[in-house]
Amino acid sequence: MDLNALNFSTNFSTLDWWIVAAYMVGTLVIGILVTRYVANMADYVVAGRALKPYLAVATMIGTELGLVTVMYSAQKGFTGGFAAFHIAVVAAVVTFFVGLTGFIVVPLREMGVMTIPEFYERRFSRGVRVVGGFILAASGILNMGMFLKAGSLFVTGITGMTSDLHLKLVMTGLLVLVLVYTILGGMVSVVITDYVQFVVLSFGILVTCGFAISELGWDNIIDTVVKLKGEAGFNPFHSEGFGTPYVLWMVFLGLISCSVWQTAVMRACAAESTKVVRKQYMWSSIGFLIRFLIPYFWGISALVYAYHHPALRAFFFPGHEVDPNVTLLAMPVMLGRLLPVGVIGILTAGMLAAFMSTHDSYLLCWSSVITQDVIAPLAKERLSTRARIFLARLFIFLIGVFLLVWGLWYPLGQDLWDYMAITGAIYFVGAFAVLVGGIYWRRASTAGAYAALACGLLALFGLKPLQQLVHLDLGSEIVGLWSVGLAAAAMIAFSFLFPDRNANALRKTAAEESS
Amino acid sequence: MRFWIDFWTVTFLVGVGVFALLAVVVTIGGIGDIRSLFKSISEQHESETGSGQAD
Repeated sequence: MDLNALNFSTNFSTLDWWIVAAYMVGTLVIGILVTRYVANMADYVVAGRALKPYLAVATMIGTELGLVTVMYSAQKGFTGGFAAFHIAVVAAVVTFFVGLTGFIVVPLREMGVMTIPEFYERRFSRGVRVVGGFILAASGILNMGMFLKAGSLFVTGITGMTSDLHLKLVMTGLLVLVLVYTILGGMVSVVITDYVQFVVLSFGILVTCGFAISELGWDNIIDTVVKLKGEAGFNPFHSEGFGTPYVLWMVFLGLISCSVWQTAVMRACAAESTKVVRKQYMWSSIGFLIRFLIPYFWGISALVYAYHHPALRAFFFPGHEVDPNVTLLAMPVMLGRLLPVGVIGILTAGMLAAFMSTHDSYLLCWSSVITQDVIAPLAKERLSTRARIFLARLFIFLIGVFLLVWGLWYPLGQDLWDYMAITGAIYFVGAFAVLVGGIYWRRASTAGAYAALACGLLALFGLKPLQQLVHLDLGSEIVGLWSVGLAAAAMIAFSFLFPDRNANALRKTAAEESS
Repeated sequence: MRFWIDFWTVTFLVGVGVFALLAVVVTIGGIGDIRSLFKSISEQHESETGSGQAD
């Protein structure tokens, strides 16, 4: 996509560049200064356990509200209209349900595991841990493969940079910043910078919503969506919009996001008690609602804004199917033209901080999974601590290189949200069957676990470029739901066909073990 | 369609309202929590130094 042809201009000024630069430098300085309070590695854990409630909520919401979340959600709002709100509501309801019932998360907390692959080994075998760990890391790394691209499109859209070369330079610059930030670390500093990010973003988000409604008019927003999308722009079950299979897929995704995704599980397992886990989830449901709802609204506002501006209308509504890279650009372009000088700078600074902290968390997470759950078990736990740290840092660097190459090369071909749902599904389709089977069904066997994990790979066929290669044309929600069903069937069938040894003395389920 | 328009309007207003309230409460409360966090860490360092513990 050659953005040079667009000739867009935005309100982003020199003052806003200074605001962004000052915020970035300020964050790094805070991070370095606060690190002086950290005398040893254990202080990170102490900081975590010493978190009082307001700081904990700020950190939690700061972690949830990342730049990439905003980008893919805004794109969904642009393409789906108000009907996209169903994803936010479903996510909130499901998270609340998990908190109420303790489904999956409470037994995991009781077992004291810190990672899903660790559960695999305790319940099934080391082999399942290695295979599961590999699939988890691969899925997670693919999942974050578009992060850098989404972040760069945001920066170029909101600042008015429209050159392909600038996009590549921004991508490289952001990556270097993230790698430096991750390596410098900041143990306690992560919590403090999350708080600052929360304050800045909250202000930016609320002001932006105010500007959008004031400039565009609520009635005008509704009328334009009615005109452009009809009932499909509001009713998520409408066959010309999302449709019932998609809504069901979102229910499953909502369940997975809060109970099976690695970062969510780590947070639950770090809670003081199962009572805290339940409360944490019930309160988190508000966070899940907001993290999607407001960006969806920004996307809807971008749809309305672009439609009513002739120069943008020709670009965003060309009369044929629009490249997903184009629809991703709609929201930042709108923000760049709607928000006044100063406010743009503050919002951009907050978004970039969110971008960095998300990368920090995920780079550490996936490199740890590869080191702890794949390499270390294969080395029969003979790896020294020093070797593990070295490997983790090496993988952080290698993953960073992959992000740069993948972001530049991979043709998205579908909405970013759907790409992320499918790449995540490679892991969680199998993981869900293995977790539910392992926790709640005594007969779940190692063979069943392997089969379920393998079925997760079928989710790859939800990716548009792969579908084109094999001449397939299916909605990602259809591929996802079928993969879920097949994984569950494989777990059941293979568990019956190939029970674990000592089947007569059936292994206790994790739920029984923890009670 | 009217039902969905009204439903999403109310959802949006409630969501933004709750978030605005949360933002104010957490911003103000977080300042006190940061002070407590540093105090807690400093006290732990003092007790570790006093007992001669090293990491």
